[in-house]
Amino acid sequence: MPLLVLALLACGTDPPAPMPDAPGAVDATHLYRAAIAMRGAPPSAQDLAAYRADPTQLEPILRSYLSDPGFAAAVRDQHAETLKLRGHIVGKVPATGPLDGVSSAQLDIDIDEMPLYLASDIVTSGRPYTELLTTELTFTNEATSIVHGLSYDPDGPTWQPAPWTDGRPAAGILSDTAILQRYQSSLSNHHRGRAAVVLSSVMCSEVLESTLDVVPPQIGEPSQDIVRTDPSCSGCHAALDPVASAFSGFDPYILRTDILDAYRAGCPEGAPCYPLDFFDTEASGDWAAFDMPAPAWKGVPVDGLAGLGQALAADPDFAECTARRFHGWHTGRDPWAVPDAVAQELADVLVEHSFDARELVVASLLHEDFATAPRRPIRPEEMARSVHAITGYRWTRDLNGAVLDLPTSSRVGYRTLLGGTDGWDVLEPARTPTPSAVLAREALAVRAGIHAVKRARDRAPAERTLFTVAAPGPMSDDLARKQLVVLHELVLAMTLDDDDPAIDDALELLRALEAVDDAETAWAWVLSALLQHDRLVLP
Amino acid sequence: MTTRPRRTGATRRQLLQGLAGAVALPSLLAVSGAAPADRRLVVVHVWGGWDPTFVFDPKDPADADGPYPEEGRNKADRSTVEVFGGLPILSNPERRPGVTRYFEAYGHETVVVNGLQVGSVGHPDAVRRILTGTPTDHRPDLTAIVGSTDDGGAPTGFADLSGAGIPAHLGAAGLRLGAHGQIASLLDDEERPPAEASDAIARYLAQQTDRARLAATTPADEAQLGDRLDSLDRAARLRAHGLALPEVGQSFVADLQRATALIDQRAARAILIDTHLPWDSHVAQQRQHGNFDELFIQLHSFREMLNAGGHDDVLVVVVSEMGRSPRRNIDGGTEHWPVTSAMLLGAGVHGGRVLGATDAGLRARGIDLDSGLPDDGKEPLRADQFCAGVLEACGVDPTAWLPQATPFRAPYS
Repeated sequence: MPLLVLALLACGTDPPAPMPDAPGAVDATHLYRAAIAMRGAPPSAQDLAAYRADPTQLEPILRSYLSDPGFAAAVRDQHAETLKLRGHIVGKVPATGPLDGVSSAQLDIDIDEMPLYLASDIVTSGRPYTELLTTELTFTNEATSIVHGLSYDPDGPTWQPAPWTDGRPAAGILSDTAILQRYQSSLSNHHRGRAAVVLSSVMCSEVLESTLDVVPPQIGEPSQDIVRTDPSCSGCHAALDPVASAFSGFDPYILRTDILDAYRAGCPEGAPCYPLDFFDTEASGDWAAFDMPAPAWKGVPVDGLAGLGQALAADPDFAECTARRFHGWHTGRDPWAVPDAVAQELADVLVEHSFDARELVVASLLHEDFATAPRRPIRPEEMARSVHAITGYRWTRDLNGAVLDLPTSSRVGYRTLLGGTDGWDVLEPARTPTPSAVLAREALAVRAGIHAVKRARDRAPAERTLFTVAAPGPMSDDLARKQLVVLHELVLAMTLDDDDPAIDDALELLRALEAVDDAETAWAWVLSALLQHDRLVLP
Repeated sequence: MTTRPRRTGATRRQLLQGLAGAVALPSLLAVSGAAPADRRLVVVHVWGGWDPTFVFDPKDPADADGPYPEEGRNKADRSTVEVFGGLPILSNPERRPGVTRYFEAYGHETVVVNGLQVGSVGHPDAVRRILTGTPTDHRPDLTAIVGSTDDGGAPTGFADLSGAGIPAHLGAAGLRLGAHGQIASLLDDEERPPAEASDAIARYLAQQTDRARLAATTPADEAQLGDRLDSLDRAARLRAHGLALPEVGQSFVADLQRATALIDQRAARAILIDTHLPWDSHVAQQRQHGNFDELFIQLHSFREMLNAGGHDDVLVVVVSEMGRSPRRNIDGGTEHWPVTSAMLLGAGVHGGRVLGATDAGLRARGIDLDSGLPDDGKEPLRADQFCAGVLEACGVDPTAWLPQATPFRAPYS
């Protein structure tokens, strides 16, 4: 038994009993979990009230979140994890030449956001999700438009849609340089790494998950023959290689050092200076020169990468994989762990609504499988967004001109400690609570608690959002209980009577903390404790 | 390639044709270290795929390109097989002086395992196989298993410095330190409430979590809340322990400094680190020279630190998820190869031996699992057998984790 629990028992604390909401209160757990999964923040007080008054309001409330900026951000988070973007690699492209003066740290961040903004735009606008694989567009901000030579309106929004201008096939994220640079190839590997991400991440194919042992070839055996004839190779390569061939014409990679060298040399013709030239139409048939098979999907020839994107989008596996990815994200499971029947049911919803992914999202969150799914650790992005929504606090740090959000930055922040991925070394999110996350959440919650209390102190009573009963400071037991009831409602969506055991516990904590420091600080720490409560961090 | 016996006379014929058989004699050196259940484990992962023919598994240039294409500009710049404390190692003191110095000092304490068949040529799959012993998702790695089975009183069972760790369902028993060691700033956080307040908050959180655990309606929720309690407990123990870690960026040296701190302070039973060196040499095979040099310079320092600290209970396992193809490609690099080598030193290891072998084509030969001698009548050594042996060497019953694998005990006997 953990030491803390033993300590509780040793102190004479009775074994705790189950603690429901106040008698008669509608349990808001479903709304609470759905709000965090969908937009990364708990429901507002108004939404909670509306839901408690009429639980059938759940769907309208969730639909209202479709236009919440937090929903678009969560869609980007989801796709970043799926595509293993937002890596902590420093210096993806250098801030040189026309980018002199641009923050290289911010450029590293922005480069990976391009396909993510495309994904969130498709989802939030309700355009067919198949465009993820078929559109000629990407999304760009001012700096990335210089990197890639994309049109950009300085008077428009920060992130804008723009077509590629180098003649590359219209294949959505498949032809996006951010993806292609994340999955670099070599002259001898012929884009197989890029094909692998198509199979595993876009189509949820299990063909690369073979547990069959690969054995070395015999001496002198030509490698391209081996991958077709050796049973330990051919299973994967028969699926992989025709997809890889569809990427012909794209550069295997452009290195940061190559760009720097090019600028040092004065950008001679053909050197990799901005805008980067990443596609060569004349080389799009090069697969034949390398004895690779013709581009195809499941044995049916396709016309290059654009044809591949269209074939993938039309494949029923894409709809099912999409359903698995969204529902897996909502429930904190891997796509393959989503029950087959649920995945198929949700895929049908997606297809019936012409691939409007918003309908998939709502159906997923209303599904019984979501309501009954096991609790899962809150993600770093959700934690940061929840803390901001509740307290107004963001934990940031300035780094070389970039303002980094520490809970979600893997470069200098705590994203991987909070259970997130970093797109490079840490590729799987934590599926269980961890000590690292406890420590990182404590640091975030304490700062947020102090921030919220200071803000409450400086505001007029009518403007306070959390301390609505009284300003944080010395309070009688009666007043403190009422304030704690409010905090439980706003932070944890728990409707409690002021004599509830949970309020007793919180009051006891408050008094213990007041013995250590002043009452205002004690309230800050109590709030920080609620921000670390299992209800929030294990929704 | 020429052969230049240094410590032990051996002919080229012996070294290249009867390599493993000639040197896999039981060492007369006493095996140092604590009893298996008391041992600590450090796994050094060489992500990307090293080329064993540069050091561990010398081949004739007619069979494998190895390190030779860059060499030969002067007489000193040549790889030769030398025997260090019983270990035949390919040495080039000009290009890879760190390798030579390491084996001069610690060859007699080191076991090299050649012909380790990983069975995969994709990084994620191969990493999973070499660190967990299985090709299956969501099985924990060696450090997570050892650290969670018995933490030996350490505040954290295992510590992942590499990022590549696979804790699976054992995440509550270990610590992720962050790519740059960010955990250090959390352990030494000036904003944290004083201990009395911090402890009161921790007790409150544990109390609330335990309430929820008792109210849980499914085993899955109960398990998650139990892990939450364990995590709170570990965090409290780490704070109380006063663990101090250097926050010095992301590099092999930095990881080793942090590992050293964890070992010195007895803060974790098992540690996973990575070299963060560019081993995946599809386009620049010559990088392997510098990588091996740096690897062994740092292993040398690490070994000296362990000796200086009297840490003879630490077993160090150095693995790479794959090897490299014997021939260079058109980019001057090499491709992935499903056979690799491994290295063990420290607690329980009977050093000065090369176990297992590959043939001229760098294919794994059969092996006798008890003696480690090549036996072409038997199957090659597999990753699950290698991992099962490591678990057993750390006092963990491998049948609970890798039930199908016969433990590879030869390094420890």
